Amino acid sequence: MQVRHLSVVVVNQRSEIGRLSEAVDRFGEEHHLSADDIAAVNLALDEIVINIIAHGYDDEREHQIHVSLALEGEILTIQVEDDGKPFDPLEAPPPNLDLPIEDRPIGGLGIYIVRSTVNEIEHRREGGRNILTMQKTMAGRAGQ
Amino acid sequence: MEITRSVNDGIVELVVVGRLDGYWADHLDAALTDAIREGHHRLRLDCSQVSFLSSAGIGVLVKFHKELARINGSFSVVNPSKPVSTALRITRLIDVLVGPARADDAVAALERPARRIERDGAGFDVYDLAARTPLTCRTVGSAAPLSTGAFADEHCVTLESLSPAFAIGVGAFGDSFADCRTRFGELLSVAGATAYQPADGTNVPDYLLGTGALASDVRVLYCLACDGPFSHLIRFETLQPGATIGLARLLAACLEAANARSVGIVVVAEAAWLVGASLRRSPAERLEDADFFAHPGIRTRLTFTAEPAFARTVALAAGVVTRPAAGENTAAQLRPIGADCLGHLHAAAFRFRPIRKGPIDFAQTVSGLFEADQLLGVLHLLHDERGAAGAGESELVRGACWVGPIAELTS
Repeated sequence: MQVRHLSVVVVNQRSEIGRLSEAVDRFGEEHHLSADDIAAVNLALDEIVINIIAHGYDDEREHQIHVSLALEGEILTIQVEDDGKPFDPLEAPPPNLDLPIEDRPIGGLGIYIVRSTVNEIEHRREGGRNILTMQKTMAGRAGQ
Repeated sequence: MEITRSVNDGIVELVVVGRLDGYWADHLDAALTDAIREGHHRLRLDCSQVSFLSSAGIGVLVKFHKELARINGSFSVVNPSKPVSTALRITRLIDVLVGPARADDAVAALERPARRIERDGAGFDVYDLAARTPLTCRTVGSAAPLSTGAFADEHCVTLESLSPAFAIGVGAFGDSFADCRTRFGELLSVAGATAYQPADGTNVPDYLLGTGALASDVRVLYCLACDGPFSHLIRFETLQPGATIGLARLLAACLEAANARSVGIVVVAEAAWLVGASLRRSPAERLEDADFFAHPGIRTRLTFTAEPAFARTVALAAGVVTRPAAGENTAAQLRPIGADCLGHLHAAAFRFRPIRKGPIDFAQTVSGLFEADQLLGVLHLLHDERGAAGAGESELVRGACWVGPIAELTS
């Protein structure tokens, strides 16, 4: 089965999110992914990349974050690789969504959104880098 | 992202077009903050053209929903696009954030003022409170040793047994004069909450919260303390966007509203900026030269806000203002404020948070200001009328004043 790839390198600036999103949009359109699937991938990537930019680095230097997509049949594998501080999003405690809004913290939803958006998620630390791999079934491509 | 804004029936509606992601969320935060700083407490966010919503954007929605609920305002999302609905559904916020803008509830709940005064571009809504007796105001201790640095143990007073409506003076937190000696600085105590600016070079204000009697470790060298209930609550606001009201004009309006020549006053206000001074060195420390106020040594002992300070903050100010009759002797510790008034006010500056509209509770409003990391500084307010060379005075935008006539200033 043919595998379609996308590779994007962004630097640790919030303004890069728009460029990453445009690249994902183009990839999705080229490979006939549904609008919902493209939106979900963009949502997961926004959460992960913004988290790396906001919390991953203690210095002011420019760092590269490597994002790749691999589409094989209806399975999209998303990989994000960074040289920031060790961070395993799977260890983040889940938010308590049962609290009334006045008691809910303002943040803390990003990783929960990622976990709600993709089917599989795995983190490993290799050579001083975080490698986060997510898999999501592209519902719109089922049967293609 | 584009944000357009309109006002209908007192509700500000912001229409957002584009992505509400980790990059653009700060822009929405700034737009909503601006609307609240302009005095709008009912906001509606039209998200029909939002193509993307991440947790950063959700954080902004939750923040403003909570902030406006705290002050009896309202914030709602209307016409959510599919990406917005999806993100809010995942986070179980859709039922809370999405809904009608509650156009009528916030206003309907507000009690109407007894009367309204408009002066010099500002409006004053006056609410009569239940007070039957005037405030009693007394001076505790004396500022006389200040000039020579001769404060000693016998000048130090604990306010432990008092529960004044407010007190202002020079004090510190500690268990003895010796403990406080190097830290005495500008102090303000309102409704059991006390803040002071240690004059020990740290430049970090400190505060204590109490419920009634002042904490036993609040010690003062001298102060003005007012006891009793307030007779009026005055809500004020400039009539033009971007305008400010000077402290002297506000105080004059409060004298008029209370129909009194002397009033004790507590102000909680959204401040454009503050003008004042604070001790850089404790006046209980021995002086190298003879006079605390002599040049050039004064430069190391007092800090003046040569230009407006604490811009766009919330100020808690308290003090006494009087319009003396010609030839009348007035109490010590009062200085000219404006054309025909004398007064003495201290202020604590806090990070900006909007102040609830309408009649608000005195103690609750004051205690609500004292939250972690919100206090920025404490200073003695000045009125510097030296024209272009002067620093001017503190300028406010809107707020609340609790005012009570003072029968007599006693020592």
